[in-house]
Amino acid sequence: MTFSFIQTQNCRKFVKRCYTTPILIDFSLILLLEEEFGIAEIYEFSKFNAKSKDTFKISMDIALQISGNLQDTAIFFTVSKEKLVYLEIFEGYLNKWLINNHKLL
Amino acid sequence: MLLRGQFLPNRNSYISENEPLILHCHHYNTYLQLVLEDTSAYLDIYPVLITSAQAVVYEHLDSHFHRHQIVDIEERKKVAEDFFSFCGFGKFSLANINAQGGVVISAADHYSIGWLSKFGRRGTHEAPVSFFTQGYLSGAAEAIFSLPKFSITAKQTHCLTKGDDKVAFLLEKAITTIKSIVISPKNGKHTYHNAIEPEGNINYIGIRDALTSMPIQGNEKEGMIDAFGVLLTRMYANYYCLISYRMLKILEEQMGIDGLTIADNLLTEAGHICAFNTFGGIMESAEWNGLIKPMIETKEDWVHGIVAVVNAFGWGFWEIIELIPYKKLVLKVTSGYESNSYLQLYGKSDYPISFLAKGGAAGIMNLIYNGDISQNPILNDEYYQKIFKSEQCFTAKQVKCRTMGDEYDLFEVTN
Repeated sequence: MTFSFIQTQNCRKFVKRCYTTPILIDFSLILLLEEEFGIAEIYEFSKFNAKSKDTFKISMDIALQISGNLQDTAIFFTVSKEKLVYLEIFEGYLNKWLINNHKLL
Repeated sequence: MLLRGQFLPNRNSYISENEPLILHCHHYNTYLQLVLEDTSAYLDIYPVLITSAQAVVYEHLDSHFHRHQIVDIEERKKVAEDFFSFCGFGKFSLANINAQGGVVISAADHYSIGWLSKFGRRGTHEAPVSFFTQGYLSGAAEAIFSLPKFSITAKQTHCLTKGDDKVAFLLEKAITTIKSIVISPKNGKHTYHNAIEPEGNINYIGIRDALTSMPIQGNEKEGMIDAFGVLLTRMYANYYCLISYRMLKILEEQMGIDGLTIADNLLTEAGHICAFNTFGGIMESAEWNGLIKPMIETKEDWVHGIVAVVNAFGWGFWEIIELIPYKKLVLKVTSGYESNSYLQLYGKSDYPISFLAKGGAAGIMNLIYNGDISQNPILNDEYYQKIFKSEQCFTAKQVKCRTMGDEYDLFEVTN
């Protein structure tokens, strides 16, 4: 199994995709993405409301942003149209994470 | 001592040295500027854009310097540079300016980048785009060197929207004096209230506390804030109010009731654009998915959720009084930044003046009930036309306004 995505685009300079993963996102994905894209900021929303999920965000200045929620299946990838090469790199890491966690599928 | 502020829960406002700062995105910032620039054929609007920022920034920085007895010029420069970046306006160095002026080169600029992203390049006949930054730099230079207000001018010499590879400004001593006196209304006629906490699925206070605890500030490299899928700024509420109401007053003076109608339409449309892009962007963001979506059980919870978010933005207290699904929203705004500012600047009015809130209220209903934001639609011009300009679209009317003597602002949204 693999991920799927829909592409949204709300300005002329950026591409935004919403990926859906077949398994729940956990810290192992964040750690993997940090290897390439930088340190993640974690917002502990669950501390403010028991139903809420903690959110993570990884940014490379304003050229690229990855965000999502722990224990969720949606992950957002926004990238400058000048840096579209990172789309393939990002999807490579998603695949690697899924392979590492294949026993959960 | 760096310049910061704090969120005051009894005012639902982020206050820095008596200046309210509010969160707004590049869509609103650039579109509001666009609608003002559209009047340039018959109004001398460009000085309004610059001097409004210049006045607010000068008074803000000057207040901070005096209160904390910051007299060293280099330290003052650092405060001005740092605050610009903290607010997400971009990044520049004041190393090459003195009391006579100088050149400022910007590593990144919110208005240049935001305009380029939203509208693309400007025409050869059009001015460079960063009027706010021009005002910021001139006001900052005056405060740093203890010069009189409006004694420095800043001219933008390079702009990304004009095909340049940098953003740069030339500061000089002003040759002519400004004709009108522009003063920041600062805190305005604000009021104090308890937090909004209606019964239901949406935890308003939890959302407000979660969002106000997030470190929303410019990144280290570029001084830009990339959050909720948009480029945010922590902008001076009084900048928005000064440019909007000064334009309104000029139009009213020149064209009477027709001028008021033009201003109302332009500024309300800016509110629609803000709602569509800011609210829409938020409702399609990871932060929304994590913090608010798990609380949602009904479509009406989407309305409550975005209203709860607004309460964290420093816009005042927003409260749903009545919500009839697909039909009607009655929204109450208490201590809204628009009426706070207008009352301080001009006192009473014969007409309602909360244009951003009016456009925002209509936008909420259009996004949720005319469109369906829960389906993650593409937020492009085509979708905007579909949900904001169709026959079934919602429109808002301001039925109570503090500037007209009412206790609070009230909006009725219907289709």
